[in-house]
Order: sequence, then C-alpha cells, then structure tokens
Amino acid sequence: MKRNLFMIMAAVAAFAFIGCGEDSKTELQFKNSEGSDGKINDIVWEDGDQTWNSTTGWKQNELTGSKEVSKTTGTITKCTLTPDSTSGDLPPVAEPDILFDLGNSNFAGNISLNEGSSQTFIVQVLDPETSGVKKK
Amino acid sequence: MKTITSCLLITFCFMIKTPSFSDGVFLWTKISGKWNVDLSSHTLCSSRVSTNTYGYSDLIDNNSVTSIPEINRFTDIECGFELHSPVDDNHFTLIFSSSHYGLNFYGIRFNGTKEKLNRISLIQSKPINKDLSSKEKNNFVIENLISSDLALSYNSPIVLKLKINKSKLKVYVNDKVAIDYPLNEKVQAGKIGFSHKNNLVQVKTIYVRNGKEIIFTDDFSRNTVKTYTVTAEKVRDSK
Repeated sequence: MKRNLFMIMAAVAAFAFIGCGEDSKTELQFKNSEGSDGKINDIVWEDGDQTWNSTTGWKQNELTGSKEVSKTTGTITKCTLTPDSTSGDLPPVAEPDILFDLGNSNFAGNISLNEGSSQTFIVQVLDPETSGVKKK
Repeated sequence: MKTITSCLLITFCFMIKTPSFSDGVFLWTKISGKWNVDLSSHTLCSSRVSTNTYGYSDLIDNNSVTSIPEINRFTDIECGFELHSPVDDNHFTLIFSSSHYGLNFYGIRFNGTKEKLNRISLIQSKPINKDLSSKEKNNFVIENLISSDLALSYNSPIVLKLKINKSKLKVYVNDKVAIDYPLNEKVQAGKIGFSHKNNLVQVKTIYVRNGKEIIFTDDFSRNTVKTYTVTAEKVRDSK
C-alpha cells in the first residue's frame, strides 16, 4: 500500500515537473541603443501589464532585463527618459513619443508578441535637434 | 560717409536689440503629453486629456511643456488661451520661474468642473526634502499660496496677465484683478511653460516682457516644440 502511494506521488511529481517545463512564458525586455541621446528610466507595457523602472536610468547598450508579460498584443504606453543634454542628479525630464519600427515604417499602434518566446526590442532615444540621421 | 556710418549704427543697434529667443529651432521642450504647433491656426495645442503619474514632478505627472531658454528679469507675462473638452477636476497652469528639471516652480492654476472654470490659484512646487536625490519619487509638494473664485466659460478666449512690481504679484484675468499677492522671494527668473489635466488646451499668444521690451514670445508660425521620441525595433525572438 505504502509502495503504491509512493509510486503515485512520484508519478504526480514527475508529471507536474514535465508540466512546468512545458509552461511557455512570453517574456519581453528592452535594450537602450548605442546611438541613443539619453537614458531610459521608466517603461510601462500595455497600461501596467508589466513595468520596468530604474532611477539611475538604463544607459546606452544596457538591457532592462526580461520580464514575463500577460498581454501579447499591446504597446509601450508610458516611458520616461533623461536626455544626455541634461546633467547632474536630475529626475527624468521628458515623456517621449513612442514609435515602433516594423520594417520600413514607424508607427505608434499595437504590436504583437509571439506567445511563449522571449523578445528583445532595441529602443532608441532620439533628440530631434541631433537625430537627423538614424543611429544604431 | 555720415549716412553710411548712421546706417551701420542703426543696423548694429537693431542687431543687438534682436531678442535671443528666436535664435534656436525650438522654443519649447515637451515634458509630457501630446503638444504640437497647429500651423493653420497658429496655436500651441495639447491634445491629450488624460495624464500619467510617475511621481518625479508635477510637470511630468501632468501634460506639460516648458520654454527651452531661461527667462530672466521679466516684469510681465501675458498669455491668451482657450480650454476645450473639460471633464470634472480639470486644470490649466501657466508655469513661471521653473527650475530646468521642474521640481521648483510657481504657477497660476485654473481649476474647473465640467461646466466652468471656478477657481484660480497661485501655486508653488518645491521638494519636500531638499537633501534627497532629485531622482527620488514623490518628493515634491504643491502649495496653494492664494486662491480666489471666478467663473469662466470653456471654448472662449481667456487672457491671463501677470505683473511683478518689486515684490508684488498681480494677476489679471480678462483685465480684472484676480490675485494680488506679496512675494517673499525674487521669482523673475527661470523657465515658463504650461501644464494641464483633463481638458484640451490651445495657447494662442504668449509674451514675456521686461518693462516694455518683449524678451520672449512665439507666434506659433512654425514647429517650436522639441519632442523626444523613442523608437523600438524587435531584434531577438527566442523560444
């Protein structure tokens, strides 16, 4: 009886373990582009489905780190940045307009994430006075 | 020879009198919201009603723009504006004497219901704890220095005038005195700007003067709002 019970528990545990392995998370992270004109401080995905925050800001080439998102269709609904033209101990001073680059055209609508995969977006902060040429 | 010298002298005088505010491409930095210059109506418009709360400053928590240059030694500010599509608990603020990151400023704030603007206040934003980092969230307070009731309609022009004489601030709304307040400190330096929440804004005129001399203005005949953008591009997709 004890042996049967042990075997059943082991089977349940193994099944649960396999089940966990098959649990497919959709993850998202951002990288501040090398050519950015500022640091990113806050990013909010789809009205708070997921948030990233750094008081010091993510500098050029820094990754925010991956986080799981629930909503696989959406956009960056909030973002703040500290332009490089500011200096010293300053809070974020601008909320930029946000555009997604899908091939040849920028647009500000929703994007679709592939469910169950980990996706990285390069974000680039553009200062309209210095960003005549798109930098990467 | 005398004529040529006179002409050169006049030209030189004109050149040194030319205000520096027109030197740059942009006159305003968008802090938050959706601001743009409408070239057909020659107005500065803000088309976002709602706001986001970040907690860094009142300016970034509302829909705000501030001037790029700091404006020093002004005596008068004159602003013509209209408010549209209000919902309850809406406001519009003329910002002045703002530090460049917006924690410290004074403002003339109009508050309203859905039906009318019913209150005008002189407000002051300042850090709660000056020793904390400027990056600290929720470290600012908005103090109401003086208020008075009024009744103004939406969708019609409002002219706001500020006059600072020595340490006295007088605020006129459509040529009637609305606020008369003794200031304890010099407030005649810093950036000017606008912020609002729960309404749409059209700024039609803005003049900042030192005596009779105009030291800052914008006729909104070109795009003068500097707006940072963030572009995002997918680079990796892994299972």
